Amino acid sequence: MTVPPAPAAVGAALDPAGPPPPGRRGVARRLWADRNGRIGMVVTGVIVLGGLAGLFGLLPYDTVAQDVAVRLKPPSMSHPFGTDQFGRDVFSRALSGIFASLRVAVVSVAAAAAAGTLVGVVSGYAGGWADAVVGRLTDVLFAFPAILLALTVISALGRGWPETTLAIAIVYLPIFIRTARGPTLTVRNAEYVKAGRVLGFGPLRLVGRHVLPNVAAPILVQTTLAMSWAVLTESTLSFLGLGTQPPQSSLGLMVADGRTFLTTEPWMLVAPAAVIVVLVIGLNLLGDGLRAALDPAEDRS
Amino acid sequence: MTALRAVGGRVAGLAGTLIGVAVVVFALLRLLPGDAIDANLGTQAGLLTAGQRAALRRYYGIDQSVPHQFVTWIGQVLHGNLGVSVNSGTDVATLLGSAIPVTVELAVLATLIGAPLGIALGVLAAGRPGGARDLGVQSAGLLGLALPEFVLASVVVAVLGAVFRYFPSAGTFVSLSQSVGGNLSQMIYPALVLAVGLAATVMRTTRSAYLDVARSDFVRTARGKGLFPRRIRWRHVLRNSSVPIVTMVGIQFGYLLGGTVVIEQVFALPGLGRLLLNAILQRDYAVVQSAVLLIATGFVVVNLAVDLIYRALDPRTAET
Repeated sequence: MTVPPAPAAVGAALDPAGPPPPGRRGVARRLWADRNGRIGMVVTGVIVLGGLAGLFGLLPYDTVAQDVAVRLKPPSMSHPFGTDQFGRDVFSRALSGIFASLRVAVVSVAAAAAAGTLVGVVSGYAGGWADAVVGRLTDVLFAFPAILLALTVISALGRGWPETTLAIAIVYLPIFIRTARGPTLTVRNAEYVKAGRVLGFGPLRLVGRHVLPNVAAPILVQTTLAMSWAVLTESTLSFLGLGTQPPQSSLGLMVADGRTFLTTEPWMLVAPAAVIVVLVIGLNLLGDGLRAALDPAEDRS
Repeated sequence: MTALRAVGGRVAGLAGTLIGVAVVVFALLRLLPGDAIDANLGTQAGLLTAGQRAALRRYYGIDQSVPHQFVTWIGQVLHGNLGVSVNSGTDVATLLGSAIPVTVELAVLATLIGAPLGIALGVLAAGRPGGARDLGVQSAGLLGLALPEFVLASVVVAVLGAVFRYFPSAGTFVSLSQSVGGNLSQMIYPALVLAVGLAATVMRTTRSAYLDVARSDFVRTARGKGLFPRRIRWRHVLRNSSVPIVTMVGIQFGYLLGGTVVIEQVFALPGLGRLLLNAILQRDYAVVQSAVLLIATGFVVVNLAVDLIYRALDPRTAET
């Protein structure tokens, strides 16, 4: 924050700061105090650590190289989740699959959240025809069921994980625009913003100091929930053969491979499926916990 | 009168949205590298002389301006001419016509199973919030939301094969008009899988809507009057929480129209989702374009219907 010039400094003293944004420490503590938030943090944290191991190559086995000598081995000390039909270690492949899923989910949701917040706040604050145009565009994107929009984008761009990332980002863009636009509209006409405008504060300061803190909480909750949906969608698209391409590992691809062996070698399907379920539950609980931690109204309930 | 005008406004908005959808679908296919000539002739397109290429461009209408092409395409679509599938050589309208009933039936069956189940579980959970039953139902709901459809569907198919010696993808599809029993025996398992996710979502909505109403004064009055708890539960509380529940069921039904891709693929059902997926995999763009346009139209129309039902259920919303 730069030091404001003299007239604004007078105003700053009078500046009726809106609801004070909860301090970062405060949110973390409240999240930990919430049972859902605590479980969500721990579960998500453990899975993310597994994904990081995949990213840095800290895996017990190569995820792509085949070793026919140990194909379709049940879980054991050397292969905790067993091996697949090519003798690849399912545990190592699951960890690198977590990375593949999180890579798509994090990049797509971050891009959608950043772009959606920018567009939603600017159009909501500006109003007028710009807002009307943005409103119509989001209506059009909402006219596609989510998975259909993702499939349509992939049909135009082609298969692969970068394409999947862009597809999921486009699906989530209108949701973030709406999430950011709603609170912006409310705050824009609030007394304290009007007062700031009367005091001569520029739009950048009003948006930065008063609008964004109000938008941050719903966007943060939406981001967590969007992550869980993005993980599900990434694995669904990979399952259908449209996302991550073999021989790279992906949780969705592993489930697709494991189908044929489900009755004889169930670990091939159960391991990646369990990872997806646990990760999605963790992200959902984290989202619920964040909602409770960030909502002052839910303080006493 | 005002209500009529409000409905008219929504229908006009729907038309605008559909034009936008058509533009998006059209624009996405413009993004593709190459044109219709490359798509149909492949590498042989390079052997064409400039004159042949110009003649072909005129034949496909791609020598016209892009807005002109768009208007021509929309005009054809509105006349029911959706083009021909490159892969099967069949009329796209015929392909869609045979796929629609499968997907709609699947969505209807899943809703008929999932919605009552979700509502019942939601009421059960909301009866004593924080209690053992609430915790159990909520945990099951979270699991239902987190369990991917493709995992559940794969497991169901494998179990059907191993235990009951029933292989959905092996036999030919029996339509509802051919044999009701034969059709239902094929559709029931995919419908059940779809119903799990739907029931979990509806359960969550029911639970929170029920708890909102249960806190209100008139419910306390009813309890004070000594009405039977069961009567309060169904007549007073559930009835007044019906608006968000009906809305959620409607939205979920709309999603199913475009969200049966995975289920149709795993259970080998010849519905819209499978048609679309195969068209995407085989780059059959005439089919992709029409299928996406059709599904989005269905989704928007269902959402409009939900909106109108919402107004009818809660007269207060019609006034605004």
